[in-house]
This record gives sequence, structure tokens and C-alpha cells, in this order.
Amino acid sequence: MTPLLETRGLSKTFGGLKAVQKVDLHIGANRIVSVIGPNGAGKTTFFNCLSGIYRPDGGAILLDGQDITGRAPHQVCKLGLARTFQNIRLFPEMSVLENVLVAQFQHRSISPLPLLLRSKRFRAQEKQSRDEALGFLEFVGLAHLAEEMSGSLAYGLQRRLEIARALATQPRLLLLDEPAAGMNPQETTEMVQLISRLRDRGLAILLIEHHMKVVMTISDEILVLDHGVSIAHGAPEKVRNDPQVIKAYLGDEVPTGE
Amino acid sequence: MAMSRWRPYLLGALGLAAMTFPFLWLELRPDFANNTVKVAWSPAHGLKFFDDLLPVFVVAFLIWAGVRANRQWGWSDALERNAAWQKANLAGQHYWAWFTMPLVLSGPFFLSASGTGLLTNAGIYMVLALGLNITVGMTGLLVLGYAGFFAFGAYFFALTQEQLPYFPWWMAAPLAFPLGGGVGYLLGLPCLRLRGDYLAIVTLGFAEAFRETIRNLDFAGGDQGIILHDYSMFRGFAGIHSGTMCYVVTALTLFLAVFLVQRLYHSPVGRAWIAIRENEIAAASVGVPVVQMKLLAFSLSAAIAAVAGVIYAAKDGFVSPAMCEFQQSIMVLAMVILGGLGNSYGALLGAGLLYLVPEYLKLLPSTIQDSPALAALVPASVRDSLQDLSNYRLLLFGAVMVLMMLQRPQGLLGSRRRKTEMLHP
Repeated sequence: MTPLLETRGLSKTFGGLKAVQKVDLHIGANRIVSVIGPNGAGKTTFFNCLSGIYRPDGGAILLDGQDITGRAPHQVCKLGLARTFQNIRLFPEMSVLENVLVAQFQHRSISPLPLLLRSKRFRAQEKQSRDEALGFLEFVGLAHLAEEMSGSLAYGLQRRLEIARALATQPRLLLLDEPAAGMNPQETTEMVQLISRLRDRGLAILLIEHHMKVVMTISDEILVLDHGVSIAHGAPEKVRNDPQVIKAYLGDEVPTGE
Repeated sequence: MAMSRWRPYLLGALGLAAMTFPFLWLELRPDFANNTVKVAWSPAHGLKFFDDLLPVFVVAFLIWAGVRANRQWGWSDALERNAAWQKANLAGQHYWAWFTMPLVLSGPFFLSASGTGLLTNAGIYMVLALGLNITVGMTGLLVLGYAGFFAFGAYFFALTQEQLPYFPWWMAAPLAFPLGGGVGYLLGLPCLRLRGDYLAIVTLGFAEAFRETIRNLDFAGGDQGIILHDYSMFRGFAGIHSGTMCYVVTALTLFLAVFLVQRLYHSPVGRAWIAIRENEIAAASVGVPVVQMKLLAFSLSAAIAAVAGVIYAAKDGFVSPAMCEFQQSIMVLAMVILGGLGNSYGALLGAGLLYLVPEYLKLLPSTIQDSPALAALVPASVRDSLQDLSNYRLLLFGAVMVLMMLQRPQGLLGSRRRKTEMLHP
């Protein structure tokens, strides 16, 4: 069976810095895979390569067996890969609802005549989009704020809105870049619940996260990056006890001088 | 405390006085007998300058007073808090159009010929501002040479009607739309693939290159421009004045343009444009084809400008390279910024204000002279200095723009949200 997402020797270099080096990864449908690693390990660069924001220097990315290496972000999105951002990237001047509506672009016909004349079908589509968008907002618990400006939302809610927006593109694989960053324990718990509900919807999730509790509770597999290199990959228990991972996080043992 | 607040202004004024000293307070008198130039200290010369500037000071004072009053009594905040009118024009857009359309179209019946002419010009500027607003306001792409497309439309019309036996404005205007759009598309194609403000420079270059080219082409009339055939221009018929005809066509074009832009704005396309302005990377990663949408916005802008160019040429019966001067582009840009970036009705308001206010100021002195009551009220010296005011309109534009950026960066009708974005880019 072909995995939902597969990377083969994915590499990205910035000048002399090898941000991502030959990373291999398989994600099966409906799995939660976490990417962890120290700061600067190349996690976000890895995400940017997957979602088409960066063009990788080497290797290949296959989504459902289809090569998407070097495709533009909107094409990758159309094939069923959506993402959120570590530094929140909403459309601050649009309402919460409109933020989600934008994400339905690729599922909407924009043929000029019905659009300009507001044909019955176009209006029906607009209404359907709106209802669907409200459904996504309901799912993340923001439906009551639909008319608010997204820029004025509280930080934790903005993260939720990013997830709702990503859901509106109807992805099969969702990339979450530090969804629980900067959240208090209560909010973090809620985020963990949200992520497992996402999985219940049938999505596969690739997650970057620093909260080890979050990672260990919900991940099926963990990939550990250090200096752009994949140093461990497997079930949480296995990764937790991997000496190389401990070394990357805590540093080398102090050599005892002879 | 109070001193430190005024220090920059005082220093600036002193610096300006020092720099302008030779031009304002000294007079150069040619001495033909000795074949030299004499430099003489001339207070009258300098005072004359300040006398000329009096109306500028008056207007600046009025603006300052307005800003202070706004801050004191919170007018603009009240306007924003009461969002009803904003929602009204979003939801009921087609209803109010049925009321305004007959009102606007009946304009010539109760306006003088010169009033109709002024409003026609204002209407053409409104079409331009509306078109530019798509690119600059909605999609967030800066365009500095918008008048280039305006002149392109006008010259396309003028040159074609010279070559063909019969090519009146009503044949040219529908053709100018796809042609202008095509030029916009070709121009946008290389630079919209790149990130950053390349479009601003490329369009600026386009407008300047277009102007220099037509200035130096013999068949395009060079600096003299082209005078159109009579049958290509707007003509009156069945007792309708040609000016009325021109007004009505401009008004209909304006309505059509508002319709087109507003329908797009309240559709997935408009949402995609705004999303690109707000955050390009996020827009791309939720499936908006950024390059195509930018090209669409820019081509549409160019197409609208080209149609406006045809109408302008058919109205004046004359095209010249002056149509695509930098100043024209900046004027339209200023209209969009003044009215409120991203708001179509703001663009209309900005265009109306920036075109009509200076024109009315020009007319003001003769109005005062003609009316005995006003003539008795307003001293002659004030009347004369009002005469000069329209000469200083660029200076006033500059002042107004700076003030807008400081006090109300979202423009007159812009939304509150714009402000936060402009303040924290």
C-alpha cells in the first residue's frame, strides 16, 4: 500500500547551511506523526519544503504516490496537503468567517458570467460555502466569533482559526507547526483534544511540537531531526530511550579526564 | 517640555528659511549698462511670497483645526463604531444603485454646461481610481505608472481612428478593455512572479517609456499630440448637447465599473485578492493561485484605465503625451489613498474630492465677484489670493497626504483594520 506521504532523501540547503539533509519519512493514512528536535534542527524548513513554500534541492516528495516535489503551494494544497504556521499567518483584516471562506477557493467555480450576474447557482454556492465554513468554525469552537475580525482574536483562538482555515481546503494530510506554542496547560489540553478529533475525522497529521507531553500522548510515530538529519524514527517509547536523541537534547556526556 | 515639542518644527522652519533665503529675499536685477547682474535685498519680494502663500496657510490651519476637533470629539471613531452604514452598503448594494443611477444620469438637466463638464472629468477620474483600487487597495500591489494605461487607451483610439475610415468611440471603448487588459497581462507576467514591489517600478517605467515613445514618433503626433476626427468624438444629436452625451456615457461607464468591481469584490475572487494583500504565503498555502489572481487584478486595472482613456480622448477630441505624466499617476494614487485603500466607494469619494475641490477653488473668486453679498463680505485681497490657491494644489496634496498618513492611514472610508496593519507592517 502506498503511504499517504513519502519523502525520499529530502534535502534543502541555504548557502552553506544544510537545513534538511536526506530525510526519509512515511506517513500512513490517519496517523499522527510528530517531528521533534532542538531549535534550528530544520523542522520548519522541512514543513516549508513539503508545503511547496521552499523548493527542495534534492530528493522527492510523494503525496499518495504522486510526485509533488517543487510544486507551488496552491498546487500542493489542491492535492490535499494543508498546513498551519508557527508564526500565525491569518488574514487579520478579514473576519473569522472570511478567513475560512478564502480557503475554499479551489473548490469554487469562478467562471465569470455566473459570478458577475450572481446566478442562482452562484448564490447557492456562496451559501453552501458559508454553511461549510461555519461548520469548520463550529468544529474548532469559534462559530460564535464568526463575524469578529481575526486580527482581534486572542492568541490561542487564532491558532484554532488557522486549523479551521486549513480544514476548509479539505486536506487528507494536515501539517501543524507548533500548534500548542505559547499556550497555558488548559489550552494545551484542549489543543490535544482538538488534534485527536482531527484524527477522528480521518486526517493524517504531521506535527511539530516542543511540548513533550503533547508529543508523547498523541503521536503514533516520532521523527527526530538534529542539524537537518533524521537521527531517530519510530514509536514514542522507542524514541524516548534512544541514546542519540538524549544526546541531541541534553548534549554529550562530560568526558571524564584521564 | 513644550519647547522640546516644537523644537523640530522650529529647526525645520529655520533651515527652510536659510535655504530659501536667496530666492525669497534677494532680487537679481540685470544691469545692462555694465553687463552684469546686481543682487539687491528686496523685502517686498519676500513678503509677496508669503502673501501668495496665505491661502495655503489658511487651508493648513483648517486641516489642523479639523484634526484637533476630530481628536477632541472623536468623530472618526464614532463613524467607525457605528458600522451600520458600512454593512448597509455591503448588503444592499444593488438597491441603492437604482436610486442613485437616475439621480446621477439626470445631472445635465439641472447643471450648467461647465458644471456638466467638471462632473464628467470627475467621473473619468473616478473610473480610474476605481480601477487602480483593485490593484493597490485590494490586492496590495503598488502601481506607480497607472496613467500609462490611460494614455494607452487614448492613443489606441486616436491612432486607429486616423487609420480607419470610421472608428468612433463606441467601437473603440469595448475594444480598449481587452487590449488594455492584454497589455497589463504582458507587463505583469514577468514581474508578478517575483515577490516585492517590482510592479511599481515596471509600471513607472512603462508609463515613462510610453510617453517618450509617443513624443518621438511622428505618426503619433509627437509633443503636439493628435486631434481626433469629428465623427470619432462624442456628438450631440436630436437636440442633446455633446457635453450631455459625454456625461451620460461617463456615468454609465462608471456604473458598469462599480458593478464589475463590487461583484468581484464580494466573490471568491475578491476574497482571494484581499487574502493576498493580507498574507501572501498564507493565501498560497490555502490554495489561492497567487500569481494568477495578481495578474487578474492588474489586468483588470489596466483594462479599466484603457476604457477611461478612450472616453477622455472622445470627450476632448485630443490626445497628448501629457496624459501619462507621472503627476497623473500620482494624482490617481493619491485619490485611492485619500478615499481609503481597498474600499471602492472610498476611491470614488477620493477622486471626487481631489478633482472637484481644486476646481471649485478655482471658480471661487469669480463666484465671489459675481455675487454682491459675497463681494461685500470678502475683501478683494483675500479673493485674489484664493485665485492663486489652485496653483498650490500639489503642495496641498502633499500636505494632505502627510496628514492622512499620520492621522487616518486607512483613508476616509477605509476600515479600522487597515490602520492597525499600516501601523504595524
